[in-house]
Amino acid sequence: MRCGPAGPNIPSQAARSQERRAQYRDPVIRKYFECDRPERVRRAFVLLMIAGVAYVPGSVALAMLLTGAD
Amino acid sequence: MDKDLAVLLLIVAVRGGMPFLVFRWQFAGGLLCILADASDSILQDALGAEPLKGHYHLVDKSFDTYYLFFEAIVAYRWLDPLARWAGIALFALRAGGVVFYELTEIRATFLVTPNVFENFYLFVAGMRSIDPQFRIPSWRWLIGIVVFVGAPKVLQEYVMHYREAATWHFVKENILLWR
Repeated sequence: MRCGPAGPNIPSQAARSQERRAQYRDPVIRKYFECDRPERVRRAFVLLMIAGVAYVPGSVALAMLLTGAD
Repeated sequence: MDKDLAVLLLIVAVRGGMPFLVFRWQFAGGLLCILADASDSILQDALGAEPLKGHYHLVDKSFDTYYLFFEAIVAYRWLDPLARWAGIALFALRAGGVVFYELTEIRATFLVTPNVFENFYLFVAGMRSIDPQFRIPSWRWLIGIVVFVGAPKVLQEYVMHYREAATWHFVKENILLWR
């Protein structure tokens, strides 16, 4: 009688999910930080500025609405 | 020289000259345009002159559209078709909104035509400064990016342009504690 898996090795649902998450994360975030330290700092600063430019004025506007300062 | 005239010339020089920088530095130039946008209120307050009194909103809107036009030219040169056409469409929406408002003075126009283009431009230009090969992978990503950068802008438009709140004065008095 033959032992082991009968067919090709099918990864479990959890393994597939983990692999998909890794593939999803790799090109988007990790790739951008695979560089030397000064460049990594510069890139982090750029990402911070992208978020800051959008969300700092938005937060100020929200604060004005909530405090009735407008 | 008259102080009002000197401040006016300074504002025109800063706001008129800064957009040229986006041709050299797409991302940093875009950030400097935002600083220049804020500079007119700050310069008037700091130097105690009001050369734009009564015409501030018109002049501010004109200079805003002027620098966004420079950014739209840069966006038009992007090789990623999704980023390029989304950028052009968002700029056209905003520019159309500004013209419509000037003709009708319906303030709700700014809620329907928010300046999402600016945040979208900075997102793409910033990502391109990190990775020159950056491309928006799909329509789903495009929608996600527009919602991410656009949602706070709609709130900002509502407060600044629809309710006509004096944002700079709020920041000055409550955040910078500059009285």
